[in-house]
Amino acid sequence: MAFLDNSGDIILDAVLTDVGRKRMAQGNFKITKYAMGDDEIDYGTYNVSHPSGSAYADLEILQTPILEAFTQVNATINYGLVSYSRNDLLYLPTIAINTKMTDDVVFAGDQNVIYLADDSKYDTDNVITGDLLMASTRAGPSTVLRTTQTSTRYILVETGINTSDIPPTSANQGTYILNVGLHDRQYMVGFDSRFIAGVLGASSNSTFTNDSTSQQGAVLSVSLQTSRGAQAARSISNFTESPVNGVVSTLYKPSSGPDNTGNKSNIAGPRGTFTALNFAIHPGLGDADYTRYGKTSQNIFADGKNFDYIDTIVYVKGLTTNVTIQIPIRVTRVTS
Amino acid sequence: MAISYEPLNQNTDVTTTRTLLHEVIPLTGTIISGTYGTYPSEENIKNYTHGMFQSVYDYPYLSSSANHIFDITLGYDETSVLSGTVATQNSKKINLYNQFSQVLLGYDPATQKVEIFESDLDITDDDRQMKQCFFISFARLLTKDQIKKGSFTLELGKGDWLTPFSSGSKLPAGTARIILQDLRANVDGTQVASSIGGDYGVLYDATASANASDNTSSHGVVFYQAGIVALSSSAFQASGSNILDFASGSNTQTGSTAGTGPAYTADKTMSSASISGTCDALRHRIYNLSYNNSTEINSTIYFCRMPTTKFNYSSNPTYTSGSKIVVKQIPAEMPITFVTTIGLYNVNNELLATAKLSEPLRKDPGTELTLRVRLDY
Repeated sequence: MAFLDNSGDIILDAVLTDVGRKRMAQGNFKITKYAMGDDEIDYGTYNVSHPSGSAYADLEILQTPILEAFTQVNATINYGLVSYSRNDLLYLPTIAINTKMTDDVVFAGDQNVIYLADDSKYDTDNVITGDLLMASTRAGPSTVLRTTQTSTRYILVETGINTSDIPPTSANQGTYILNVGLHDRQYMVGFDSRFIAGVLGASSNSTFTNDSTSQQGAVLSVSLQTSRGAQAARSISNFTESPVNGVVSTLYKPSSGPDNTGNKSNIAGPRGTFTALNFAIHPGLGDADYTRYGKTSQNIFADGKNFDYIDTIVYVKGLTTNVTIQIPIRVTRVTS
Repeated sequence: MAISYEPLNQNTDVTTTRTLLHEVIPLTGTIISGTYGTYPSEENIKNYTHGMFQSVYDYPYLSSSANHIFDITLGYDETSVLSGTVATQNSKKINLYNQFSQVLLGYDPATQKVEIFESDLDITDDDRQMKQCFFISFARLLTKDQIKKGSFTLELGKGDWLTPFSSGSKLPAGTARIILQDLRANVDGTQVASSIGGDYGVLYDATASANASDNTSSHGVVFYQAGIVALSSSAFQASGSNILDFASGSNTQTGSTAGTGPAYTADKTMSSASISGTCDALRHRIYNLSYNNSTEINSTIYFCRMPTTKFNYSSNPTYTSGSKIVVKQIPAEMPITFVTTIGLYNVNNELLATAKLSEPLRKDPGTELTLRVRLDY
């Protein structure tokens, strides 16, 4: 797509999308709502301290060239403008994967990928894939999910105000998040349904709270349940979206003493909600799929153990704040 | 809330309009005959083994760049003086006439036979009948929805066979070409008749004397929606008793009109020559052809309103740095966003259409914008 001519009057270049044409062919084309996007804008170029004054702060943004409209639905509005009733918000929540809790929490390691182990596959010594991967000489326990496991091994996703300017107190959580409606009660998880059959998310009785004795530590209690209500993603081919619960975090700065909760959470300021994720590998994933979409018989850890794997991306989006994070997942099975 | 969707009020935010768009279609005679090869074997002319019509392209038709412009054929009614067993392709010519007649005019309820074309607006008076016609059918590519009424012009040469656009010895000076136009037809529908084939107007001789009566200066009709011209062979008759040599006749009976030989009138050619050979002769005499096409554009306009309280924040990842909004320094400052895209969705949040602004528009709580998105069908 070319850039639109921005030398004269402002014009609007409008096209039907692929889906729009399909719906028109089906006879059910009816537009009922609209939304606004700003995907091309880099707000980092907004210069609040422009030497010529604040009137010039948005000069670079306003000169941003705009591409012609795409017809693919996934390349149009990825983020979008949002409406909040208050105009005095200075902070908006961000989303992060927890890398500070130990034991059951999984996050991408040095290889920037999270392994999703197919435990139905064994090596020649009858050791299942997950056990092989969790060896410290291989991926290690902190980077391995095990398919469909509901009690341990999950990715912990947090949202909140990630700044040390505002202490993570209960009061600030109310002021900056809960009272202004910036907490995600649900997250939408998008995954490639060719490789992943379903999502397990945190149950509503999960907790992420202070250690009851010292208040300095954190206690994470998570049980996973299979997500219901999955449906085909409207913006990416082959993807399915499935909602999971968001649970309000009660991990606060202690009322007395130093605040060490930052050692347990990747959100430095007031915390919003969290969820936990695990996935079920598609049961029909076979040799042909690993050959076509991934790599086979790879000696990943240079120790003679060979694995097949497929790399894919999982998208997690807060349904209230629209904060989004991408998680690289490596669907893995041992072959020999 | 993820992306903030705003509902469209179907009564106040959506409206429809209808616009007629016109394009000028000028076709010079050299494209129709003479540019791509030596007449009559031209690379932009396609003849078929069935021999029922001839197609004219704007470029050698074997090229993928070629566009189909129009087809030429001819026919006569079975009651025409030309009809007879000795005529070449007699049944095909009758069939073609009947085909055009039944599609464009329908049947005469009294006789239960197809109507006869007439070069006037009253098909029931049996006056000015055209029992032998050339038919020029324009491609949809050029005609679009219809030919604009009052815009059609066909300029034909009436001169000698070898120099059809010169007066020569048989015609008075300055009368070598006849310009046929739907002079009186108007876009408002006056001087236009309607039939089952759509509206049609009469092609008058624009070069005739101002005093010439209608009855002597009309030589065909143009069907606007169908994009078909029915042209009477009378267009190639000179005034008085002069008979023009429409085609050179040495080869006409075997299908070609090229070469030299005894002169054939238009009627004689239509009878004796093959359809493709007669079409060659007609192409040879087209000096210019032009009309305006019409495209009816139905538009739906969506008024996408951005009131002061909406769309003032963004979920763009660059909008915050360490959770702090980068376009604000203190809470009291207004949030600012910059709109570049409008998405139009159905009730299931499926993106059906998208519109891009040519430059970012600033939006803050102190401004209210209405963006007008027009979708044409």
